[in-house]
Amino acid sequence: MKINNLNQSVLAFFMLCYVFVLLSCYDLPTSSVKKMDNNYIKLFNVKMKEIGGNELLFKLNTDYLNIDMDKTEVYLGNGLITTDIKNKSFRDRLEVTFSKGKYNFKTKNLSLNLEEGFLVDKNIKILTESIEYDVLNGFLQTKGGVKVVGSNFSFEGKGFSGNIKEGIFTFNDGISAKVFK
Amino acid sequence: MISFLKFTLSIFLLLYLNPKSVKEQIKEDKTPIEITARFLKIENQSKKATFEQEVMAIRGDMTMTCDKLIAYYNDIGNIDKFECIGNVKLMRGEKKATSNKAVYENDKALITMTGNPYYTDGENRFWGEIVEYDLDKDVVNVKNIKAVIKIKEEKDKK
Repeated sequence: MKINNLNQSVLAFFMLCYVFVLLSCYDLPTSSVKKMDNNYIKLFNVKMKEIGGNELLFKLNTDYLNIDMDKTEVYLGNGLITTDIKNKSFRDRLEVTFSKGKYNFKTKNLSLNLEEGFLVDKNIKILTESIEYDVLNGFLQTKGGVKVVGSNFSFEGKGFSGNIKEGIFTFNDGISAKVFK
Repeated sequence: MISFLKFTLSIFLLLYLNPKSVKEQIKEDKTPIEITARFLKIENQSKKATFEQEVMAIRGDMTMTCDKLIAYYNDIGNIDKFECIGNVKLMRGEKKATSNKAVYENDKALITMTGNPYYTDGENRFWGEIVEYDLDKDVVNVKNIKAVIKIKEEKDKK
């Protein structure tokens, strides 16, 4: 009886070691993984890097990420996306906090619902509820109204689109602006 | 008691003997310029924003229209200058001015009109090389005057 208990303890110890080694082989910085069904995996507390053509497109931190393997899309929970904007004449960093979103690995298109808006420059902020962002080309589009806020001015209007990498944005459906002294 | 009376008196003097009340001063200092247009292009690298199509700028009782308005902002995100280009028209009560170009300096509230500027105060007409209008002081200065027509004298001759 005592020998059996000892054998079981040793076996349990080696099983634990095996599981530990197995887990450490995967570079998955997540606290938990849950398989929803055959085509759907949910990851929690995810950090992700998306690389395209030897270029880091963006870094992502999110509460959860649902991977839809059939459509090559991922659905995102609360999180933060950061991307470096490199241009001939300037370099800056874009940070966007979102409440939920979606990313397509094939089209490189991000759809995000925003809570606070985001900075395109250290002093220029864009306030809007949602954006469609082509991370490869830098093209940005919104559906509803947008407000651009600087230190002593604000621009508000509809029909907003632009290119984050080039730093050019347009309103083409009416605009009103306020400039303070 | 005496210091309280001094304090109350100083507040009274500040509020009622000042030519403009504190509330009016604050309102004047913070009167924004409101700009409307059909189209806006922001070029963040060049730090400028270009308004086009039905451009109108309003500050209090002053209205300015033009074909194109370019707002320049600095590194800290402050718009410090506007340029109005093409068919510039300025109106404030009886004061009216037109030109091909106008530059507005935000910190000075000063408009400088060039490119065949014309100005009238309702009684007289002026043509010159430069028309300067200080919005806060409501003072117009026409430089290098080329012609002046006094409307009242014309009516007298008739």
